[in-house]
Amino acid sequence: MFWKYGLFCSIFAGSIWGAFWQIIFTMMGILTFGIPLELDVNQMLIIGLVSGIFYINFQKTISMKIHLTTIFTMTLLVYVFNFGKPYQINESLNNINIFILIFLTSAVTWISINFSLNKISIGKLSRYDLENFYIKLMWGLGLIIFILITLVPFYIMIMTSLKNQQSLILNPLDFSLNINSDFKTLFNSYIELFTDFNFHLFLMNSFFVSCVTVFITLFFSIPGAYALARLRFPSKKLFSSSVILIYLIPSIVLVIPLYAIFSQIGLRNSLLALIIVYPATTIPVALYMLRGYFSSLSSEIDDAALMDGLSRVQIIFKIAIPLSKPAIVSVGLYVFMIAWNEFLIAFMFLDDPSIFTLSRGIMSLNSSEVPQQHLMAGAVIATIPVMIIFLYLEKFLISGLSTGGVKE
Amino acid sequence: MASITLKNISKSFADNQVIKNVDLEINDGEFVVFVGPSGCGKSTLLRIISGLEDLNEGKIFIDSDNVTDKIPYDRALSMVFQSYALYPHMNVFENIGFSLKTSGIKKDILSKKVVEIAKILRLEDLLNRLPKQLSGGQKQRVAIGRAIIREPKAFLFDEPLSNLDATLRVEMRLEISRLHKKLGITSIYVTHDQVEAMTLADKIVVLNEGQIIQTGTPYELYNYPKNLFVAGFIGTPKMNILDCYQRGGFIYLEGNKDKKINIKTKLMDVKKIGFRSDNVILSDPNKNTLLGEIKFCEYLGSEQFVYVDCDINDKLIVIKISPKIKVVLNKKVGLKFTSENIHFFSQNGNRINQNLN
Repeated sequence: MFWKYGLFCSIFAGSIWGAFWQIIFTMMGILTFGIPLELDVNQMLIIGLVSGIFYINFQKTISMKIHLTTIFTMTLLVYVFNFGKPYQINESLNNINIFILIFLTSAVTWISINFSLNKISIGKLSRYDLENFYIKLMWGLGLIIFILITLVPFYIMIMTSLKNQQSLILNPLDFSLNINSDFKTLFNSYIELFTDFNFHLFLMNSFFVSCVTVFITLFFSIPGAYALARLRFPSKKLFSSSVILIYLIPSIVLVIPLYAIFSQIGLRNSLLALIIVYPATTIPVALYMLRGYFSSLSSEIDDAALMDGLSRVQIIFKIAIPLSKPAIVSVGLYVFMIAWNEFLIAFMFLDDPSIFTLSRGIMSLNSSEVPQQHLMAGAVIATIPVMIIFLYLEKFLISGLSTGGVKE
Repeated sequence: MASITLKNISKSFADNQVIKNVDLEINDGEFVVFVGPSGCGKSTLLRIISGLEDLNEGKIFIDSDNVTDKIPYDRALSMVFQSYALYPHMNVFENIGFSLKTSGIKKDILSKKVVEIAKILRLEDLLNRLPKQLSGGQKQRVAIGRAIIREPKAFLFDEPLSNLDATLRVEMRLEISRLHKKLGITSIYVTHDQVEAMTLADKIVVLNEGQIIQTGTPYELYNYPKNLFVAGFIGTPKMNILDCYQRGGFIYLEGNKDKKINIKTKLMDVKKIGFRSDNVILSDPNKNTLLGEIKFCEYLGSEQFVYVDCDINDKLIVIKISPKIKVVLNKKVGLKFTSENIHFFSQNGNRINQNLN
């Protein structure tokens, strides 16, 4: 079959990478220069294809010098002979910028080709090499696409939040930064949010509600999960399987009756209401996750602790909790993120701007009087803390989720 | 040190009765082994004694105290588990000293005791290691250390050696035996391995389906099995058990073609005959012997076993022979029974030779 040959692989990888990076760099050009560029894939597709074939033929003899020469040749082919056609739509983009874009496109395409076709011979490939090639190609493409999907909106969000009203209205597509402007004008939206829009309060409210939710959730779900994992009691099976059923009911269904109830008992417009409702929605999942982890621990350890004179409560504190730190951290993190990002209930319950949580506060900015960059700045403020906590605790999260999940 | 008495113990999980009216007396300083096939309730019985499992009926006495409703710690027993059950987040020192620490003993006494125990078990150099940095045998020694340090009234061992490899198992078996000689503490040991049972026990308790089948010394159990179950369970290789009937005092083996053998008995109603591999002598075929053909041979170095097909319902008879004999497969041989140590069983499987007592 033709796709089992190295030559086909080189053509395939070369043209895909050429076209792919052309698309990405056109997008990046648009985002950085704020100029609508037209997408022209054909040139890079053909050049990528040719350099793929070149690479697979000469890969054993390629030195650093040849690497650089190839990249420059690719660049010049696009730049000189077509005079920068791919990016040459709008006159306002000057030649140096075009050259840089083409150069970057060529360089990254060449590197990608190197990465994909490394150690692939030109003839028929062994099964191992073949699988390796396709997996590597898909993995690379997938990774880059995934990173872009995650980062581009974030990039747009941050850049918009740093702009002023005038430039935003002038050209909403222009995400370039005026580096010469001073700190105060650059971060104007943030400063205004904290001075005029009470965002310091929102931040504190969110932080308070999230932390209390985490605490309450863990306080109830750790002993609960331990009991479900270890103790024998009537209707245990029914209880443990029905705990997760609460997730069959969407919160939009719950929020209306809850609204009515909380209005009647006078708790509606208060943070206490959130502190009651949030744990109620997070405890089942926490219970479920922790139960899985606890039952993966050997019950003989608990027996040994019982023989050594610990009570069940002491076992939870001295044995179960220290042994399931990763699971508890990941559950805590998960609950924190749910509480921090929760919008619907906060939106329905809170009227008083002094007790708004962040998500509710950002919603309140969404009006015609508030400039859009403020909204973006608010979104950045809401995202950053979770991101920091997540990045810091990420290693726990991954190990916790996997160990809890595998052994049931 | 203490004696332990079980009175009419019963235990059910839902509808499944796993322990049925067990009575047992364990004397002070005795090494008792519970043995039986898996699922016979031996581990459950041990956990009932430890207090980790509650019981539905019956009473447990340690010395003369009724401990039936006491929590495990108050029974002052300690237990060694199959999976070692060390606390993974504590080092060897903390693991051994944990029970004393919870009882609130002074720090200097604690560390002195731990070091002392570590010396007995040759763990001095490992005190700062975590369980995951230990080998299987070391882990089990830590588990034993954790049991010893409390100076318990009795040790409970729940299949402590079954996670170890064969050589280590023999080594640890000796170690446990040595420790019991040294400390003289009452011990209850659960195993499904009858070699462990035979080598360690002062008294073996054979259990099946939640009931005690026979209690006795290894000697009694090997030579005077109470019924077919014990006869089949104790001893390697398994005792040969064949269907038979009597005519004129002689035993006839039931098979494709009934065969008379050179054993005579005055006992009535012998329906099954049992004999160990060393109660048969292999000889050249003649008219006083049972005729057969050697089908398999297992050479073990110090001894060898041959499996002889005597055309009795496809059953093979195991015979122990000297390892020096060169075995030729499919060779016709004759089997001659020695008259002592033949076990006769009735229709319901009970032994009908006279017992030891």
